[in-house]
Amino acid sequence: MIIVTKAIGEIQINDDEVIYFPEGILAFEEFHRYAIVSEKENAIFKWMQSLDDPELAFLIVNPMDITTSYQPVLHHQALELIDNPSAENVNVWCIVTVPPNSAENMTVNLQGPLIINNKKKLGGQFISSSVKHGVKARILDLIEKNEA
Amino acid sequence: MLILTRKINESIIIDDTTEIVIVEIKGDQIKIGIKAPKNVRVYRGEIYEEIQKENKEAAKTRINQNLEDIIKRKK
Repeated sequence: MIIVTKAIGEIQINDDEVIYFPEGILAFEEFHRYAIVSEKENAIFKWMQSLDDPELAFLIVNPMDITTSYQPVLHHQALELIDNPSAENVNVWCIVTVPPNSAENMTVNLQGPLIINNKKKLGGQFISSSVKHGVKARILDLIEKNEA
Repeated sequence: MLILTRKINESIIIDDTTEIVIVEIKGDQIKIGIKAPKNVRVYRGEIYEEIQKENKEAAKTRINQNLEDIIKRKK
C-alpha cells in the first residue's frame, strides 16, 4: 500500500509492515497503526509513522546504536500487551525529540521505550521503572559516555 | 475523588483484587505497599505524565539537518 508520511512524502509499504499498538502510545491513545519508515535502509534514525494521521510521526532510534548500557526495567507481565514475544522477536526503539534549530541538543526518551513484537506485529510504549533513564537523555552525551 | 483517612498498617481494597497499605509515614513522605494482580500495571503518576508530555513534544520534531552527520562528528 502507498502511505503518506510526515517527513518523507509518499512511500510504498507492505501490509506486513503495519504494526498495531493496542493502547496507542501515551497521549496518543487513539492512534493504533504505525509503520517504521526511513529514506535510507540503514539509517540510524527512522520515523514511526502513524497510518491513521499522516501528520503524526515520531523520530525513533534503536537505543543500542547510541548507548551500550541500556536495559529497560519492565514489570514482568507488561509484555502481555504485545503477546509476550520471545527475545529474538523483540525490537526496542526509543523516541527522539529534536528541538527546533538546535539539533545538537536532541534527546531520547529512555524512560518510555517502544517495544515491538516483530512476529505478531504488535507494539506498545512501556515504562521503564529504572530511575536512571529519564525522558530527555541528550544523545550526544550518551555517545560521549560510551567513548569514555 | 473518594478520600479516605487511614493509619499506619491500615489498608484500602479496590475491586476485591488490589490492596493498598500505608506502610510508613516519615515527615512529608509516605511509603505505600501495593498488592495487585500481576496484570495490573502500577506506576508513579509523575513518570506517566512526563512521558505523555515528552511524546507531545516529540511529535513536533522536524528535521532540517542531517542528524547522522552530527553523531558521526561526535564519534
